[in-house]
Amino acid sequence: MSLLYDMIFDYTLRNVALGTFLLGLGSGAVGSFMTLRGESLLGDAIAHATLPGVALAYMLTNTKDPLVLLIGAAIAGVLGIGAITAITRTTKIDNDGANGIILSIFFGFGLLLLTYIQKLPQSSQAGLDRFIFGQAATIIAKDVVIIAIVQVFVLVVVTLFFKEFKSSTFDPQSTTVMGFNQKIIDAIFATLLVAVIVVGLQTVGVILISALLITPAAAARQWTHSLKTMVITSSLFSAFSGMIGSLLSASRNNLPTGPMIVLVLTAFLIFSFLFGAKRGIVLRKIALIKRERSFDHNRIMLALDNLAQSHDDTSLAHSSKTIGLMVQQTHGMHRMLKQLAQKGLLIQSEEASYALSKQGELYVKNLKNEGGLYAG
Amino acid sequence: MENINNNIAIEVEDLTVAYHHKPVLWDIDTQVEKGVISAIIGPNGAGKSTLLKAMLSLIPISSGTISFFGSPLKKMRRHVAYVPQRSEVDWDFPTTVVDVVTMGSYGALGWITPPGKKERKLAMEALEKVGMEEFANRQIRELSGGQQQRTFIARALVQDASIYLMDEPFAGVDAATEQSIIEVLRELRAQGKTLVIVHHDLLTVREYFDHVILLNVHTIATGPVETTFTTENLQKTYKGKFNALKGGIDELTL
Repeated sequence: MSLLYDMIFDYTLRNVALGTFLLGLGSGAVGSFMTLRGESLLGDAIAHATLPGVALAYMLTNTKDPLVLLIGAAIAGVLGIGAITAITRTTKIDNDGANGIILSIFFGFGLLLLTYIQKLPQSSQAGLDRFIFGQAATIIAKDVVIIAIVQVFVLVVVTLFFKEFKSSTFDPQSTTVMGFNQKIIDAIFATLLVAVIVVGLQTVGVILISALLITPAAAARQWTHSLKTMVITSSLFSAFSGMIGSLLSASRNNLPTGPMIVLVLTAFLIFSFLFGAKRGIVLRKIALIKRERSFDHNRIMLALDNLAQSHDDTSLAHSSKTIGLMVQQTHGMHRMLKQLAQKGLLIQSEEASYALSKQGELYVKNLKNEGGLYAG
Repeated sequence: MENINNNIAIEVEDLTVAYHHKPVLWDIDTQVEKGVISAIIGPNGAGKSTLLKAMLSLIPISSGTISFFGSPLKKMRRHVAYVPQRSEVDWDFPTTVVDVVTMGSYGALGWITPPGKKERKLAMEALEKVGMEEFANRQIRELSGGQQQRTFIARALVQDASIYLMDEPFAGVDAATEQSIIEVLRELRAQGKTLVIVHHDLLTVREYFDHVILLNVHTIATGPVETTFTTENLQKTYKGKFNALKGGIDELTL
């Protein structure tokens, strides 16, 4: 309760909660398209590529003004994307390879620069460290404004170009033939990706920011088969994970924010994998059991129909043993026969003997029309 | 002069395509008249799909020109529709059948404008034409191969193009679906549309097509089915492999 109280009345926590919530909105939306485009690693590569930009911006301007550092990060991120594109176009290295190469080169260079800065005399490097693991507690009102502006921009662009993103993600070639220049769509998308990553660096950090893009999208996919719903769900998952994770980190001795957010995201993801309405493991398992049961039931009904026809007497009851022999199954026969009798499809004449009811005959007739065993 | 030009829907001249310096298509020349159904035929690796993609500027070409009714593709985009191979997209994409078919209207809508009721209606009409209206709200991941193919064709119908380029629309579909697809294609022809189709079943060429492009890196022969789809030309196209059909072309008509 006190956390909720602080969130509303404590200046720092309010900024942290608001900032990370807004951060998630845009990154969850952009992340949905990124994963569907099969470019999950791209976000990670761009994030790591921003680090030397932050360091160089500081070295050149000697300020720690977040806006200056973020512009440096954005420039480095764009250069990173350019390098990845150049590698895949001119060599036989595939996307994954190019992402890995750029990620490590840029990140390594960034670390080198940070170490150098640390050794400079009058420099207090503490401020730049936070870009690696993220530190939500450092968010001030001015940062929240920057985050808000960027996220609004991202959400507006995603809404405007939703149709283009959708079509080009599903079928880029046909979209090109229809007159949409794929390079323009890619450039718009890359801009959004760099934007959401750069504004999240200070809070979540270079290393883990891509989790804010990929994980909520993967979780959202478990709940829906509609792209629009997926994008919105992913946005909300990301926003709430960001907020919860950063508040937890800020309230407990300043634990690093990035890892805390990732933990919360993982909880969302595991829950979605298990219980997601469209693909969750638990619900799928239930559906499978239901299907198997209806398959078994159908086998019994067809077997009884066979028996009835060979005796020319539909009302003749057969023991569960006979029926079991017909369907070559003994396990659970009593239970299944009782279930069918409860449904009114069978009539139990005496102990463990069953015949088709009128309703049962109709059921078998429908079953045969619909293609037999697998119907129903 | 103008009249003659207007009768030629597609003209390919001296087209060469190379991957990493190895030619995949070499000096292709062909013309397809307006209002015909044309088949691109050739063995695996002959460059059939590549020819379609080159015509649509989806891959860079090394040399040559391609024109649609005398104009380059850039000026004719609204009049050309493409039906890719089913396997080229991810059918696990989160969307419905009617949504995919509505995508056929995106070109006419242009940038930013979202599809509305009118586009939905066009999509439903196209789905009816291919006999898929009852699947409109299905997830595309639940479709069979034939249903996927008909969804793609419905999307192309929404584009209301004059020229349709299709990559193996009959691949992996059952006989009934094949019949329903060919009926749709014939209806398009009756409306004066031109269709170029990558096809691999030699047995149905005479029944389905008016014109053939026999391809094996080079254009082996191109022209009306009656005069071009001959045993001799097929042997040239398929080289040794065609000997399997000892009776030659006449056995194909069985």
